[in-house]
Amino acid sequence: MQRLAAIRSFCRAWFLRRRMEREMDEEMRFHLEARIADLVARGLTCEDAEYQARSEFGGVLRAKDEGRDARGLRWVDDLGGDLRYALRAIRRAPVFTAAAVASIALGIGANTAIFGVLDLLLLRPVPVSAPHELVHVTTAGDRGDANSGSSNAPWFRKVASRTDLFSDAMLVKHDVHKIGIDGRVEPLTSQQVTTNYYQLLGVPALLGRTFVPSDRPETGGSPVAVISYDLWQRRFAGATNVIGASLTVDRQPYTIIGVAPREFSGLVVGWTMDVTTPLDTSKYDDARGWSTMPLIARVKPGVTPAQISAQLTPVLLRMSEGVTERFRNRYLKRVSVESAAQGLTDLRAAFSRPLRLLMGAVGILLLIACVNLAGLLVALNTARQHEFGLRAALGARPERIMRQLFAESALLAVLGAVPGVILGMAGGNRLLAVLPKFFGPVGVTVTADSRVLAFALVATVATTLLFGVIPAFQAARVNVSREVVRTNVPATATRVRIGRALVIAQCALSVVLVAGATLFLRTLLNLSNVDPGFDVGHVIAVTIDPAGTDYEGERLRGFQREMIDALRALPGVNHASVTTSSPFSGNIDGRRLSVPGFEPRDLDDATIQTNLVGPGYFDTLRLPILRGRAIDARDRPGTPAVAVVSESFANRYFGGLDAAIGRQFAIGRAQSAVTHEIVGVAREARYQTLREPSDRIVYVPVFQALNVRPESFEFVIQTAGDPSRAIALTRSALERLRPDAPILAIQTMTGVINGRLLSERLLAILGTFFAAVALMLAGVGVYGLLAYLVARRLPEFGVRVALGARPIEMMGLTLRENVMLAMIGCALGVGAAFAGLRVLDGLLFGLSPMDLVNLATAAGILTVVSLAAAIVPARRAASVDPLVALRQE
Amino acid sequence: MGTNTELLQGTLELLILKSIALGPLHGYGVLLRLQQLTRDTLQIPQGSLYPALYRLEHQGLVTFEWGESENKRRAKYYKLTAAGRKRLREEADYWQRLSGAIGLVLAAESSDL
Repeated sequence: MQRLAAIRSFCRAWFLRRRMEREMDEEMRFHLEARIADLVARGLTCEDAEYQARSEFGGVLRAKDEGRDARGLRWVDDLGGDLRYALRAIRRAPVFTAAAVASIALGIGANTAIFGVLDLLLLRPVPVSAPHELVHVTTAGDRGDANSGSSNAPWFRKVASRTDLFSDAMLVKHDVHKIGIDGRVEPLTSQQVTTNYYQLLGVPALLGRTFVPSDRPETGGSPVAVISYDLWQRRFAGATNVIGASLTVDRQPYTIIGVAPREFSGLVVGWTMDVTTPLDTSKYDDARGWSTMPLIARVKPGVTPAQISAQLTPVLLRMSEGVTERFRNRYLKRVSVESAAQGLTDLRAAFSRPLRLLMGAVGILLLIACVNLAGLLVALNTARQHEFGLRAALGARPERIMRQLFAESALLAVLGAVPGVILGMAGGNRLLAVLPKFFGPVGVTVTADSRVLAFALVATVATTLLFGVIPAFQAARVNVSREVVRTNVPATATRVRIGRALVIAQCALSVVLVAGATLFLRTLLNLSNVDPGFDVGHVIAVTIDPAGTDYEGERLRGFQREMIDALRALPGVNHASVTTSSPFSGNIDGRRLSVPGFEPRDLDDATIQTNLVGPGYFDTLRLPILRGRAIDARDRPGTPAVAVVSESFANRYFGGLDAAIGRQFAIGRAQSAVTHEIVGVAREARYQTLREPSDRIVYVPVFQALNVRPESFEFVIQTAGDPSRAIALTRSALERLRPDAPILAIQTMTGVINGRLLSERLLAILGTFFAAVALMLAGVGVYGLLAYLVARRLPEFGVRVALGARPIEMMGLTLRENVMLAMIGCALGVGAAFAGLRVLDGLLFGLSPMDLVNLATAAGILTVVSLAAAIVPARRAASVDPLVALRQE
Repeated sequence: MGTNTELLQGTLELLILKSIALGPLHGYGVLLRLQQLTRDTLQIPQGSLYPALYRLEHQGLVTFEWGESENKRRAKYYKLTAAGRKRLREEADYWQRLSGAIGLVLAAESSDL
């Protein structure tokens, strides 16, 4: 209440300043005139009355000043003065100002960019009621790799029945579906949810209604859909008669019953769920089948993730008894609970650590920029000691001078921050644009919203405090008599000490950044040099997803044969084949294996990776066959089942490559197992990650396989020339032959591998960029300090030269200072890197975070930069003219 | 100084609140009423009167409107707000207790011990 009054009064005074002044004037004049009139009435003469009235009142100006103060206007007036003065001060030092503004812009910009992306993917809560109560109940395996949400209907019902833990729970399945509106079909992101979805999230319909229990498909609810605000605007032009209109999802008709609010586009970060329909849970009633279908629950207050995990894990273990051992070990050994307050995203798992590391790097960068500016300001303010002395002599208190300097720092910070934030948002969007598209259509952008701006504001204020405090304190400690009397004052020893300490800090921080960046660069280099075992340079992979089409069984195989022939006939194509899991597609499948006479040690020992391939697969990838033959046209339906195995497979189960040829083994469990004869051994290849060879792979002829499901698969093509040029040709050939072929993607193998190395690449490129900026700033810092020291010691140098010192000795004097700074900085930096870079463990490849060569390289780079920065000041010291220098004294 | 007693620090605001509580007044009117109520025994710093009024206004304890003075001139009339009335009660209470306590101490004699 009172605070409100104060704000109102302040605003009135601030916005109606002229009126307030006029009123104050009028009121006081009225007072004086009334007093004079009263005094005259008591018999005084006019002059006496006026004199007495004025003396009783005291200073009118002072009263007005206090009046302004009372309304909180004083600091506004002072601030205005400070800023005007600051503007003049920074205009006097244009080079310094430009350097300062540029380094702040870089620092704030880099921070805004990384924060913007980090916030979108990791920090921002979804716009639902009480988002912090939402959890994603997932399952995880022995090795701790959490699955992106395996569930089925029986498991869901078990979880939802735990009202001691959850107030409600739901299933959400999202994917791209073919949505038809008014006869036009387009692939759109859509989701199927249990009917309590909107109620659980507390999201009301903008128009129409959301789902009610009677919409459940299991109990015969009619097919209904809620559409996104986006889709409503785009396809229905925001018309209210959309309620009751119909659309199709994969050719099934649905009636639109509601439109979701604009700000709510679903729980998956970056996806806009255009169409939401009720999930038919009866399709997932088989307790042995586990689908990727996030289970989201709202926890009861006070229930912790650990409690949920402890309570539900035994239930999960009982429920998962029917599935294969391997699947269970891999995904269903315990319940893991993650907060869903920030929504769901696959990007989070992949990019959370790199983004956090980059955030740390830009934080260090901003710190370096601050230290750099602090050092430069200390040196710059030395030249202004006389001015500060004069102000102090005229009555300015130290606080006043400090405030003035702070105003200058703040002005610099704001001048740098504004372009920084603009650059940063552009940079953040650039970064989002390179994030992998196959995770989903990333429709998010970094915009100037309240969160990003609040972050930028906090960063700017922190920056100002960091680089403004030391110089302000330094400058305010003026010795009035000395400053005013003497004009040319040598800097005090403390000032030099502070300057040195700041440069050393910068060097140390730069070493940490450089060491980190070189680690990432070398990791990327090491990974790029890994031989995956096959030819990468000339291969294209075409990913086909027949789900939802009528490509099944023999029709599918026919399509595949036909396509292979068509692709082979294309100009510039050497080989073409088909596979269920081309390298790095992430589709490779684990199966049970039994080898006669071989007793597996454990489950893993009895599990292999299978890849169904067509004839010509090994030629296409140039994957060498070391023994026997490849899979070829002979392997048709009806011929004996054969297999080509990898080196590690032959060694593990048959004790050698030659020994494996002609032997038999079975794939699959018990009665459904199929016996295969080994006809060849292929070289080891890397299928899942470049970091390690894939273990024990079996290649089975795709055209021999009997049980054909419409799984996704790839055509692989080897081109004679540049594969990127063959992409368009391949696409048009495919579309000509089968216009309805569901092509998911056409990529070069190089592109696929680059995509796999994305987070490594981001860390290497951005890390190197940040390290380069840090080095540049450190160079400027070293230069600034040395230039200042040399200027200060010019008279001394003059005397030395006059006494016969040679120029080279003058240079040595300067360089000695520089070498000392760099050495201490490197020592501290290497120490900090040694301790701090452990966080990079697991992200590197082929070297350790504490790699000594790497640390030495970082220290060496910094030494070179600091020496380069020292050249100009050192030459100035060497070329000193004794006469000029002495005259200056 | 004679009978002209100087004001204790911080009491001016209390006196202003009280004088306005008796009816809306312009600044000069506050001075006159205080002089009248104190029978001219208190030295009112006239120049400080206005900053004090602005402070009260800033705190939302008084509000004002423009009116016409006795001699037909435009003048700013201050009056109490609800918050001001509450503050006046609290401050007056406090002052009574304080002066009572000080009075007790000053009136003390050795026989009271």
